[in-house]
Amino acid sequence: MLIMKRQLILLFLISLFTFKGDLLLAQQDASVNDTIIKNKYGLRVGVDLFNPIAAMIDDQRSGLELVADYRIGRKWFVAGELGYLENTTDLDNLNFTTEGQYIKVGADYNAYENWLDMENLIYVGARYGFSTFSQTLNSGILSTDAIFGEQAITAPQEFTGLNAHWIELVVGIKAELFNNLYLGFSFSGKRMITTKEPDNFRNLFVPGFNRVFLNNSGFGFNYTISYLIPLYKKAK
Amino acid sequence: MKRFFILLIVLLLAFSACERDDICIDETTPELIIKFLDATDTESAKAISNLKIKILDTEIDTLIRSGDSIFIPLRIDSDITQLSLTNQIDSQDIRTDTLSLSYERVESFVGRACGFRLIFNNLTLQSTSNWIQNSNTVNEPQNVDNEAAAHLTISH
Repeated sequence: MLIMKRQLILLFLISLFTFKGDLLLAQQDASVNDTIIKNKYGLRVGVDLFNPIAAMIDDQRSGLELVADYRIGRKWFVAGELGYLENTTDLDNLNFTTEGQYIKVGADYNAYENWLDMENLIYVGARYGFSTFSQTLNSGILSTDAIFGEQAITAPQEFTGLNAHWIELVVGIKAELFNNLYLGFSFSGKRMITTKEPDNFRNLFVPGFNRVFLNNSGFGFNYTISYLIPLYKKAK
Repeated sequence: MKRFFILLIVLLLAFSACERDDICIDETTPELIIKFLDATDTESAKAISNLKIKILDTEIDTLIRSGDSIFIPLRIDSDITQLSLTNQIDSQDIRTDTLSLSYERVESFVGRACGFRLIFNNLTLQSTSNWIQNSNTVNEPQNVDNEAAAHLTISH
């Protein structure tokens, strides 16, 4: 018992020394401040280029999406997208136009360990998405016996006041091109939570969700250019 | 970190397991099903053979049907279908009856691939009686929205 007490006192004294030693080291560091790597924290805002480019090729689609994210930790970002989309889907038996707006909010986790003070991201994230939209059934052909020939459905029909809620998993890359300017690409897998369906029709396309598959899943791409507005710096 | 990434990509792909809903394999516009019964014993079926069916007021060729249950398409461009049914009872005896069917056409959405189909509600009928003893709908009211069971019975 006595021996243990002495060892304890010894341990305590040593710890005092080492602690004091640390303080000295810290003071030394202050004079070589520029070797501490700092990360930029701020608001990054940008725009999606996928929709405008797609709109030039395919005149059935037009829309705009703004993206933003805000760093809240070394690896964590709060992120969101806001957009508007008008899309016409042309199928064998149906032709309809979907028009509406959407918002997605969530968080991204940068799984990439940057060297030095580089600020690139390879991230995974999640989003909660919400959209309000309307559907217009432009034209269609009845599915009937071939002997009758083609007969059109009652059209146009408009369905307004529709909405949808969904969740997404996102995987993406953001690379800093040069001072605070980022180029990004992401892929998302979506799953519908709830949707207000039209009467005697179905939400086959939802802005922000894109094509709704039979099992209520969907996917999307995003190609963005954004600028980081730096607010403060923090040690890495 | 690499393992975490692979897991997430797998998760994402599993999430977006997309189904082929591009081919129309669901049920479309149903045809009318007529079941033929024996006039002397309306519990048992009595088949017809080589019944010649003409859908009146259309350019459609004569249909030939045999059996105790037959399928006939209803007109999609009108709320009335008039059928002339010519039955060869024996080598000398050929009789024709006219069957008039009245209904309400309703467009019903099926899915992405098939689009819309027609269903026929509140079917009512009238017939002449040269070889047909009796004709009735199976249900009251009668809708033609599937091909699971007969919609009309004709006893002869």
